Amino acid sequence: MGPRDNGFKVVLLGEGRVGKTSILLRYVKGEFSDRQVSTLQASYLDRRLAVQDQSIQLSIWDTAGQERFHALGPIYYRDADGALLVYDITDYSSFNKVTKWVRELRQIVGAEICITIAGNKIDLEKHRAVPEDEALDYARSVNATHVYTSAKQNKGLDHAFLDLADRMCKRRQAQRPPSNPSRKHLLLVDEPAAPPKPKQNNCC
Amino acid sequence: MEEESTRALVNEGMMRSPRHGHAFAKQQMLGRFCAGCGKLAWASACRCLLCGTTVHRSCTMLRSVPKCTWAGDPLETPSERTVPWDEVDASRASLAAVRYISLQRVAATGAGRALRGVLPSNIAAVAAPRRRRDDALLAAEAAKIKRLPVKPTELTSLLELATAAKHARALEPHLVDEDEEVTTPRRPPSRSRRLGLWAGATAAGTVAGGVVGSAFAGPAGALLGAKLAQAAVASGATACNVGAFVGGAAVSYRQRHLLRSVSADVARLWTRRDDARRVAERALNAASGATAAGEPFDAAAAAALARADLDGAFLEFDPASDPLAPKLAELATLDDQVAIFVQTVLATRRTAPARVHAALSKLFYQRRHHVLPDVVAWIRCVSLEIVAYHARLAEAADALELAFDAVDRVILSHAYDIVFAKFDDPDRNRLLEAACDDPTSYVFKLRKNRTHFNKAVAALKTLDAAKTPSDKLRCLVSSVEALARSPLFDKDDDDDDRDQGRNNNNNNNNRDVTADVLLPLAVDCVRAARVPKLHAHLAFVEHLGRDDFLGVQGYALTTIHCALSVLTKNPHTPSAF
Repeated sequence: MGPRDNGFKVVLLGEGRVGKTSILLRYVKGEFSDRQVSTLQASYLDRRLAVQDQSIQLSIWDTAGQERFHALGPIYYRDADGALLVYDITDYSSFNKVTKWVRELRQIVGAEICITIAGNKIDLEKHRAVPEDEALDYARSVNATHVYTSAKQNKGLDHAFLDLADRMCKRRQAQRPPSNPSRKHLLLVDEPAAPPKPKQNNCC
Repeated sequence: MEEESTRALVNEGMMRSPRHGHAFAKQQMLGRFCAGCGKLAWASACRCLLCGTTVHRSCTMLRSVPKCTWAGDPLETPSERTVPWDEVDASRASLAAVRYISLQRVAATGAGRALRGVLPSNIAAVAAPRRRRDDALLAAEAAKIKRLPVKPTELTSLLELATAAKHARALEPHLVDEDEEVTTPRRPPSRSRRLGLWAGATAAGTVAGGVVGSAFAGPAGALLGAKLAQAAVASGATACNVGAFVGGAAVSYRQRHLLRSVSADVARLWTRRDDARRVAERALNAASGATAAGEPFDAAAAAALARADLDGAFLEFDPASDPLAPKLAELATLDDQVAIFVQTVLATRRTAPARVHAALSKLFYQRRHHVLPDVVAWIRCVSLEIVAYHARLAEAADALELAFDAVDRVILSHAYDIVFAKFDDPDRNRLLEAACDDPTSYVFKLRKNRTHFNKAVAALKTLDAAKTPSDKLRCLVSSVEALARSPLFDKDDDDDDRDQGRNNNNNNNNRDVTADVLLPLAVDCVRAARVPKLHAHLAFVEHLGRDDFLGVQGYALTTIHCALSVLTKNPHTPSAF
């Protein structure tokens, strides 16, 4: 596997019907309603973003949300840099599922994956079933960011992905060894010449 | 013409001693003292073409020789110096310069960054060519060289001899004297001289061996060191300090350290000849076991490169004069051109990449148990050689990737069966066959028009015919894309997200295939295609593919992988998804 200089893989995880796919579709079509990005656009999205004065490429992978496909999770989030865990604020069980995903991600991928927890369907605030404090406290406790989104009203999506991209960038820069800055040319290093020896009268 | 080539060699530093910067040439001179050992140089002396320093031929590599003081082109160490591509005149550069430029360009590409491990990390393999050719400077050099009483022909033959000797020694590092002074080949001395030499060497070797031995291991070491040194001298070793070192090293058990220091010296000696230095480093690394992975392959590649007549075999890809040009003109895309070029280069036995390829191929068939790493190393080495071989190929940003693909095709066309067999697993084959016998399920939700689904199945079936990872990946992508293009569902389909995000879609019949739908579709597609050994195909792509599987290729691979997992882990999945 080659190194990814400015490419990031983000997986969308969450229970079925919480709106993962809607988020992806809205994120695609919110700005690109006229043209098709790719034929796989409903499940896979390449998006170029400008973060920290550099252009990065987000590859957003949607996953099948059905419970029977839960076991396939590790195949999807292998080598992922970030995860957007989506729950439905009107459905407490979907929030429980998020906590399960977080545990699984931390256990299998480790601490290096950036996690954003998105409470979707914020337009249905009056039917809220997940207390706001609980969600925020939980996100803080697992070192994740919490955002509210509404795929229907196109709210919070840009912020969610930009914030995630920003954190992934910072994390990758922190992981990169400081002695190896990206440069255009190879650095030519020669070994220092040995100091000249005193005369040797043994050559011939 | 010969003057020009000599001038170019001096200018590029290729004929100058890497240690002192002198451009030594054989001369018959009397009455001069050797700058290396201080003795009178009666005959067979060498004189620096630039500064006039005279040394014995056998003293050319001694450290005591002062550095060349020629002011016209002061010896510049390549330390911490980067050479921008545009400052190097590629049109007239030697192969060394071309190789350097090519590898620099490759290193700047995405694939090149991935290959940092292969590309020389500390310049080892690639020495910078000298600065840009300046006509005024060249003229001045030419005038100086003309005044020198050396015939360029003589000089060239000396150079050839020295280069050949270096190559030969570099390939067999264990034959390098453990003397830290590695010298140019010496002529056998006369008989009387040999006798004197033997006597002096024995005495000096005994004393030196004793001293060194005692320094490392006390009195017992001194005794043993002296004996060993005597034995070494008596058995034909030429210099007394060889005895000293052999004795000391044997007693002090510092073989490893010594080998490393010798390696460093040998490597340092050839800073100018990029290929020679590369050969030296690779071979010495192989000998000292410094890097474990792929070392036999690196050594074989180095050997093949050294045997190839690099300077003579350079093939400039000039559209005007190139014999391939008419053939290539018919091909529109770069990858086709690269493929043809690679095949031509590898088919022509005299080219350097072809020799590397042949050497690695031979090694591969001898070591079949290391199939995967060997094939990867093989493809990497040959691809790199091909890109370095052709300056203009390196200009294209994705040239290395394309070269990889083309080399893949060549190599896997005859090694495919061996490689693929390594991924085969009969148990999983049986499991998949059993799962495929279940009736397809999700596909019945599609409308009657199953054109795209059938296309996806057909694309998946071509996996077996594709022999390279990229070709197989292409099959997977086209299959998954065809699945994603079949959005014709019945209206009563229970859509998970009907309410959200889709209301702006005017054509309700033309709904998008989301991940929730794509995966079951892929399961059915895998089941319908009945590709034998599908898991082996996927593992083949994952292990040999150079993609980081981040983009759409990765998504397609993962989708089919998941579908296969669903099928084989749950062979009796309920028919309705």
